[in-house]
Amino acid sequence: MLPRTLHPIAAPLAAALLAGCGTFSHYPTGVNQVVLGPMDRGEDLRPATAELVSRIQGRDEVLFASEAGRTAQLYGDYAASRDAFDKAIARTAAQGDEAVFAARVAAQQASAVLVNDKAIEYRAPAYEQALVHHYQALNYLGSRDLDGAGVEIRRANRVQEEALRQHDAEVAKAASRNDSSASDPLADAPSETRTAVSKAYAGLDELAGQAKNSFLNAAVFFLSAVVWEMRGEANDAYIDYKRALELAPSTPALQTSAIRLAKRLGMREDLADLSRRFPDAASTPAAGTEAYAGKAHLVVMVEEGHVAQKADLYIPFPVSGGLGAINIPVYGKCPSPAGRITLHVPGAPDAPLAPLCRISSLAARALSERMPGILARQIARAVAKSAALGAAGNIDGGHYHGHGHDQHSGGADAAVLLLSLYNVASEQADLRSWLTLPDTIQAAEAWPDASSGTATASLRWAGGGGIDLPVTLAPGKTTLLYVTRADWAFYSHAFVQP
Amino acid sequence: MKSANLLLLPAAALAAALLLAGCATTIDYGDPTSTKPLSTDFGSSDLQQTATAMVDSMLATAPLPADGHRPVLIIDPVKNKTMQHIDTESITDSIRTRLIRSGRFTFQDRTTEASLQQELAYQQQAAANPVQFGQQVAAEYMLTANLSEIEQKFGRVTDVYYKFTLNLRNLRTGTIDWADEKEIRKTKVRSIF
Repeated sequence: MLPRTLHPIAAPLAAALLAGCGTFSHYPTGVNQVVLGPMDRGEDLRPATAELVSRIQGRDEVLFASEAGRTAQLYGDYAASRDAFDKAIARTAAQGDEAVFAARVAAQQASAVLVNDKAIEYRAPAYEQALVHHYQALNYLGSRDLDGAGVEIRRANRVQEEALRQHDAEVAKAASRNDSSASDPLADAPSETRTAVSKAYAGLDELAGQAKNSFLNAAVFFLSAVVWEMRGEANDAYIDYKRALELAPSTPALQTSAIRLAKRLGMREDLADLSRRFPDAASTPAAGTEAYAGKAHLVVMVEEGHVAQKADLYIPFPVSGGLGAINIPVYGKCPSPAGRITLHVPGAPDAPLAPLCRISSLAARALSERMPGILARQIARAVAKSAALGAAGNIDGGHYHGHGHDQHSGGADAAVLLLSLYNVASEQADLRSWLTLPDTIQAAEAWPDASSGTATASLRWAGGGGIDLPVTLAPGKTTLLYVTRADWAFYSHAFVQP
Repeated sequence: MKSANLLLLPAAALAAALLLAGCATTIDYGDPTSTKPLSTDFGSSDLQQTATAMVDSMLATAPLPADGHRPVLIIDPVKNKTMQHIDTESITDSIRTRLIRSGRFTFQDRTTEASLQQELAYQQQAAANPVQFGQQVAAEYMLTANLSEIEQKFGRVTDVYYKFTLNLRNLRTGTIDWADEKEIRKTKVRSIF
C-alpha cells in the first residue's frame, strides 16, 4: 500500500507524465527542429505544416494554428493558410467570450499551480493576434479578394485599438490606486529573489528597446494603409500611414506616403506639420496628379530572421524548510538581423528600405507586461510545493526528517524524495510563443514606369547577397512585393491590385 | 491533518468552479422586439431584415415616376465595411429580387457583362437575326449600398452597431434622389461565472 503522504503527489505526477512528451513537449526545441530548420534551408515546408496542422487542438490550438498558417503561406498555399488562421481567430474569439471566471479556465489555473504554466491554454498576446490578421489579409490579397483583405485589416486594427484601450485603462487604474505594492507579487519575496527578477526585467527592457508598448505594430498599420489605397479609400489609408509614422518616424516610405495623401486630401495643418518634421519628403507630389501618370505604385516589405525565443531562468526562492526555486521565461540578448537593403527597379530612383518594426521587441514588452501574473503563479506554486514537501516529512505531526525510526519513515522518505524530484522536474517555465514570425520587417516604395507591364525588382543587401524578383505593374495600381528572408532562404509573394 | 486540508483546497476550488459552469455568456439585441439573435455577428436574419426594410422604404418614399414608366436600374454590389466576411453578393441579390418582384423597375446587370459580350459576339458570327450592338437600354438610376460596423467594449459588455445605407442616384442629373439607412444594434455581455 502506498504511504498516505504519497497521495498528494500522485495526481500532479500523473498530470506531468501525461502532459505530452513528443517532439513539441519543449516548445522551442520542437519547432526549431521540425519547422525553423527546414525554413532556413529553404526546404519543402509541407511536411512541417502537416505536422503543425495535426496539432491544432487542445491547449495549444491557437499556437499551432498560427504556426501552420504562417508556414502554409510561405509556400503559397493561401487556402490552407487561411483555414489555419481562421481556426486561430475563432479560438481566440471564443476565449474572449468565455465567462470572466470560467470553470475551465479556473481548472487550468488550479492545475498550473500544481504542475506548471504550460497547463494553461495558450492565449495569443495582442501583437500575435494582430499579426494573424495581418497575414490573413495577405491570404485574401493572394486570392485577389480586396473585400476580404479589408475585413482582416479592420480586425487587426480592432485588436490594436482594444489593446491600447485596455492598456490605458490599466495605467489609469494603477495611477488612481496610488499604491504599487498592492499588485506586486514579490512584495514579500526574499531580497535575492527580487534582485534576480529585477535583472530579468532589465534584460526584457533592453530587447524591447524603442517599442513603447507590446501591441502597436507599424508593419500592421503600413499593410493596412496599402490595402486601403488598393481599395481607393485614401482617407483610411492616410490615417494608417500616420499611425505607422508615429511608431517608425524615420521610415521614408511612411513619410512620402503620408505627405502624398495629405496633399491630395487637402489636410493643410497636417501637411504643414509633416513638411516641417520631414523636410526630405516635403516635395512629394500629391497622389493622383500628373507626376504619377503612367506609373505603378510598387511597395516592398521585407521580413528577416526569426522572432526571439524565450528561455527559462531559475531564480532562488527560499521557502520555509529549505531551498526552493522558481523558473520564469525570459528573453536573452539577441542582435537585430535587419540588414541594410536597397530596392532597385528600372525607371525609378533606388530606394533604401527602412525598419517598420522589430517583433522581438514587441514580444519582450509583452512578456514584461505578463510577468506579474507569471510571478504570482510561480510563487503560489513554490509555496504549495514547499507545503507538500513539509507535509511529506511531517508524518504524525513531527518535523521534516525528524522520525527516522518511525514505522512510516520509509514511506515518508520516499515521499520526500519523490516530491523533491517532482518539484524540480515540474518546474518548467512556459516558453510558448509564435516562433515562425520574423524578427524585423522593413519597407520601401517606388513609382516605376508601368508601360511594359512587368519589371524586375532587385533587393540588394549591403553586406552582399540579394534577390531579383519579377513583378507585374499596372499604371495607377499598387503592386505589393512581400519578401521573407530566413537565413539564406527567400520566400516571396507579389500581390497586384485587382 | 495539515496535509489533508492542503489537499481539500484545490478540490473545493474545482468543485465550486464546476457548479458555476452552468452560466454562459449572454447575447441580446438592444431592441427587445427583435428576434433572439445567436451572436453579435451579422447573420442571415439580419441580412433578410435589412434588405426587406430598405427596399420597402425605397418603394414607399423614393420620388419615382408615377406615370407607369418603369425606370431602368443598375445595382452596385454592397460595400462591406465591417469586420466580418459577409457575403455581400447575397444582400445585393436579395435587394434586386425584391425590387424586381415589386414590378416598379427594370434592371440592367453589370455582373454578367462579360458573358453578355461573349454571347453578342457569337451572335454576330453565327445567328440569323443577331442582336445588334448598341441596342441596349441605358440605366437611369444606380443603387449603391454600404454596410458598416462599429464595435465598442465597456468592461464585460460588447456593443456592436451595424449601419446599412442605400443611395439611389439619378444618372441623368447625377443627383442622389433618395437615401435611407437602417441600423441594427446588438449587445453581448460576458457572464461572470
